[in-house]
Amino acid sequence: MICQRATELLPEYLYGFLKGRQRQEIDRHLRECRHCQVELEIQRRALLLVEAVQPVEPPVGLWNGVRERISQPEPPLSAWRRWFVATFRKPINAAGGLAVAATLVAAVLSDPRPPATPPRPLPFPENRSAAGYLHQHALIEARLPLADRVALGPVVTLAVRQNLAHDRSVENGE
Amino acid sequence: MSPSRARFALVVGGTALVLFGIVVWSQVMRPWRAARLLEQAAAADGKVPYRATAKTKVLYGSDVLESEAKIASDGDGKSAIRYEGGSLDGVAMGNDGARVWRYDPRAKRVYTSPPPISATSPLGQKHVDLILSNYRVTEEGREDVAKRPAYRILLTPKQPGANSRRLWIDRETNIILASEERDSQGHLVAKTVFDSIDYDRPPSPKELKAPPPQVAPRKRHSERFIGVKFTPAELSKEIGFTVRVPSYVPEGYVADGSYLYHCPECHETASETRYTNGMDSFSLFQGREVCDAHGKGGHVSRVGNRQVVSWKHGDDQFCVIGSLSLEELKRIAASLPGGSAAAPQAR
Repeated sequence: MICQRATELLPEYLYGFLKGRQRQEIDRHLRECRHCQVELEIQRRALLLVEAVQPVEPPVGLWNGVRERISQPEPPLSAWRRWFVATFRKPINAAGGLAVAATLVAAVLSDPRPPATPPRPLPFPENRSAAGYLHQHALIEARLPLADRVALGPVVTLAVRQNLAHDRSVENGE
Repeated sequence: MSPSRARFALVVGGTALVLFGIVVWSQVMRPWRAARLLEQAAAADGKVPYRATAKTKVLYGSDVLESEAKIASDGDGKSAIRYEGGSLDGVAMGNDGARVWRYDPRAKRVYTSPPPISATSPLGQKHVDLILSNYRVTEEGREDVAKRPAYRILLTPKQPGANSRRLWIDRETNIILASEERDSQGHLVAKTVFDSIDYDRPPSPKELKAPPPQVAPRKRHSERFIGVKFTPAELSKEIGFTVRVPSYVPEGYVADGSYLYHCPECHETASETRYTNGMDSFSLFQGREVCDAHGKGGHVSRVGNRQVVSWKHGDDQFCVIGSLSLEELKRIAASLPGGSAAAPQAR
C-alpha cells in the first residue's frame, strides 16, 4: 500500500470504520512506514482535541441582542482607535506591524531555556508487582554500557522497600 | 589572466576552501571524534582504578531524591558504590566480576543480578554500535568536573520520545565524571556529578566486598533460570503460558531476549521480554496473578523514574515499563492482546 492511499484511509481507520482486509493492510503498512505512523499520531491527537471540546449552548436572547446592537448607530471611535485604523489601513504599515509581531513571537517561542513547569506528577501506584518490575528493569539498565549506576541505586532500593512495605501492610490487613 | 583577476580567483578559491574545511570539520570530523570519545568512555568502564565521591539526583515518583555516594573501582572489573546520609545511608551496590550485588541495611539482605555488559565484549560492542546508530553524538565543549578537565558530550536520540543524555568524560582517563538524563520534554530524570576523584590510591579488596546478609535470602525454585536468555517460544514452554511479544517496537530498539522474572520477595513468576536501543530499554512483563492492583480497564503510572502501562487480558497480566515517552509505551501496549483497550483509558 502506498502512503497516499494509507493517509486517505487513516481517518476511517481511527474511527474504527475499516474492517477486514483494508484494516489489515493499514496495520501492515503502519508497522513498516514511520511517516504514516507519525501521520496517524497527529490525526489521533487532533481527534482527541476535537472530542475534548464540549458543545456550548448559546445563552437565551443572544440573537435578539445581536440584532439590536447592529441596528444601533455606530459609537464614535476613541482617539487611539482612530490612530490605529489610520496607521494600519496602509498595506506597508500593516506589513511592518506584522513583521514586528512575528519577530516577537519567534523570539518568545525560540527561548532556549528548559520549560519551567515540572512534569505533572502521576499517581504512585500501591502496587507491589510494578515496583518489583521497576527493580528488575533498573537492574537490567544498570548492566548497559554507559549506564549511570550511581543514580540507579536509589531507584532500585526504594522500589524494593516499597515492595516490602506493601507486603507488611497486606500482612497487617491494612 | 590579469594579476587582479588572479588575485580575485585566489581569494575566492581560498575562501571556498576554508568554508569547505569548516563544513567537513563540523559535519564529519566532530561527530566522528565525539563517537570515538564515547567508545573510549565505554571501554574504560571498570578498567581504571579510582576512588571518588559523587552527588546524585534522581526523579522518583513526583519527588527528587538526592544522595551522596562513595565510588571505588579496582580497574579489574570490580567496583562498589556506597551511599551515605539520608534514607539511603548504608545502602551499597557493587560488581564482584561475576555478579552485581546490592545491599540494603533495612532489609538486611544482599540482592544479586547478572554482571554489567563489558563494552569490550562482542555483546558490549553491539550495544555501543546500537547507541551510535540511535543517537546523534556531539561534542559540546570542555568543562572541569571534580577538578579534572572533561569533554562534554551530548547524546540526542534520533527517534522521538527517547531520553537524551549528557556525559562529561575525563580527558585523560576516559572515566565518566558526570552524567545527566533528560526526558523528551527536557525535564531532568537523573544526574550524577563526581565531587572528587583520586586515581592514585586504588581501593582495597575489603572496600569492594559485599556486606554479609543478616537475613538469609529466600530460595528461588527457578534460580537456575535467572539471567538465562530464552526465545519467547522456549520461555513459553518453561513458564506454562504463551509469551507474547509486541507487534509494534519503536524504531531503533531491538529484542534483547526473553527471561524468567522471579520476584525476590513473593516468589511470583512472570516472563520478561526486553528491548534496547543500546542506552535505554523497555521491558514487557507478562504473568498470571501478578498485577493484582490493576483492573481490566488499564492503568498508567510512574514508578520511580519510569512510566508503566499495565492491563489484564483474560488470564494474562501485562506490564510495559521503560524510559520511553508515555505515547510510545501506549503504542507498544496497543500492539499486544487487550492493550488497545487499556491504552486509551490510560491517557
